[in-house]
Amino acid sequence: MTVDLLDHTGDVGIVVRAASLEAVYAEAAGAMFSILADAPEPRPSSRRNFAVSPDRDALRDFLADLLYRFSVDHEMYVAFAPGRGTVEGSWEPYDPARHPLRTELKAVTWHQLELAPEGSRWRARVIFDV
Amino acid sequence: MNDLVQVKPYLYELPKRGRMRVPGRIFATRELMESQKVDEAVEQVRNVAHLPGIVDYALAMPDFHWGYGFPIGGVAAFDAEEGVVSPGGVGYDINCGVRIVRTGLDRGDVQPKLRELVRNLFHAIPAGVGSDGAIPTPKGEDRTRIVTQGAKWAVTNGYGVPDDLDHIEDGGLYPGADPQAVSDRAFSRGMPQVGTLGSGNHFLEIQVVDEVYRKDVADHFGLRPGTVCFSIHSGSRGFGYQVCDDFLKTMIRASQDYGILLPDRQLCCAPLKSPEAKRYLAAMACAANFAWVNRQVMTAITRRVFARTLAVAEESLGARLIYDVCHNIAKFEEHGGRRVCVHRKGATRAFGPGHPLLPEAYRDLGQPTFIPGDMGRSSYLLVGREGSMRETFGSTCHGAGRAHSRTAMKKMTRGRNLFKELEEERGVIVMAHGRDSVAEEMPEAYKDASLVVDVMEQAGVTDKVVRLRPIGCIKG
Repeated sequence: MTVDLLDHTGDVGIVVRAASLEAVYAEAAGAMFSILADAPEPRPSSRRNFAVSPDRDALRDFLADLLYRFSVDHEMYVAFAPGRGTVEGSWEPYDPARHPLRTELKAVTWHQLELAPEGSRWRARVIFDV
Repeated sequence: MNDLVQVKPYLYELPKRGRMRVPGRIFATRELMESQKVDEAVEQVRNVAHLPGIVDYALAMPDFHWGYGFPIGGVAAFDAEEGVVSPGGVGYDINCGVRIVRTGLDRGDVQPKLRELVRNLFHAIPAGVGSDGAIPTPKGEDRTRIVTQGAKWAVTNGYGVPDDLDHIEDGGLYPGADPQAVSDRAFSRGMPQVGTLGSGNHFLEIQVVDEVYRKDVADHFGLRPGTVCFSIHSGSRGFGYQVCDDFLKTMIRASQDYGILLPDRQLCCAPLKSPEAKRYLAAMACAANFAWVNRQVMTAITRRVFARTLAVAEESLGARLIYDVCHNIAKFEEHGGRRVCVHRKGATRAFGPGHPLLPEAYRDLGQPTFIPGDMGRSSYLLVGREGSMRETFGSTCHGAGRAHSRTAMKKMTRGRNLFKELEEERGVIVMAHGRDSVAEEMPEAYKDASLVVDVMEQAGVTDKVVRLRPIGCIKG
């Protein structure tokens, strides 16, 4: 599994490589939350399952949904685990004292969005609007 | 990029080729073009020129850089009958914009209490996520009124004075707003954020006028060397971001349904006369109005904090709004006798003297527009000239434009004490909510704003009125 930060002039992007589609979803989501805020001492209190799909727009929608849950419902996701056809997110209520903000993300864009097999693995590229 | 032709010292042209419907034009000097990688942004100017109904040129201002679909710093006008509207040509942060307020204070009045002032503003103006809003979260009818009345709602509810409305683009109200066109998600995301700054390149900055270029105009605005001003750069927050997100999906489908060939999916669009376009414009109007309420509420809070910190009556501050401008918007305007939908994405309206849409007090001068530089160097107040209507659909630049990516800035600033650097080397006291905000927004992240505004002056589009230097800054 690798997650690389992309060099984009005004915003931030990631390139994720992982062994499975589910793992790519998990890593991409984890990378997004690491851009949003720190969670040095995670204490997840809830879990939620999300379906995965090889459609790149579905990956974008998944990340956008998580961003919405963070922004509105204050769900701070601290871990993602790939399942079979799903990814499980573990979250705790967002607490500014325990989750110092790093960078607010406006949106998960369609810009240069990619999700595709790469040999025996999967690769995704996502750019976030800052 | 090898077909880019420099036609004037401040202007490049992209000849029409392939499926481009019009040529492209980039307002920039050779120095600006060579100061950073521009290939992707130039390609985006070329791509915009493919869109149906585009008029004259796809334009880029000198602060242009790589965006989504449209470049940041892009301007394009579409025929009102034959053209399209594209949410990517407006941006996620609908009506991100900036306002400048001048006070009757001099630097000497503020400097002894500057640190306390910055700290008080930092605590009074929330950044966004995880913080309580600056005002109670609007509920019921207020949610509708905010997005349909714009800045007037704020003034009616005690955030500002009626005079403010005369000094906001279009009076702080985008007509045609329809809350029914907006998703519940956008309302849920946005309403708790009324009166919050946001992060990234958003800021509240205290400045001092340090050079006057056009004394005639500066006198009219009450500006002279030493005058203390403050500026607020923010937008429609989660409300606008969600509106854009929702409608990008709609427009991706609409582009296919209407047979619009797109060189880039983020240029998705719909004909202006289509139901999809009308619905987007109605939702965009709601977001634009939300943004004006947002900036108006923060202005009111800032005035109160100034008064409290300096232990004076608010009325005695002389804190008058000079002007509030949009950076990300699509508007129906008349240009060259033709009704067009002008998309400004990271660009500012700058109508020349005599334009009927300008407030009476400014009609002879031209429209003021504030160009933030970066938090260590200068910002500029400009005024529109006749050339803007001829050259750029009444538009000018909106800022300095990024020179380095956020990733690169984090690497470049590793190990440095940025707050200390800004205060000791540049005389600016900075407080920030987000850990990475300051690193990503250090002065060297941006081009030199003076080079950018000088291009627009050479082109006859805008004149510099005054230069301002930052002395205090709050970031999200």
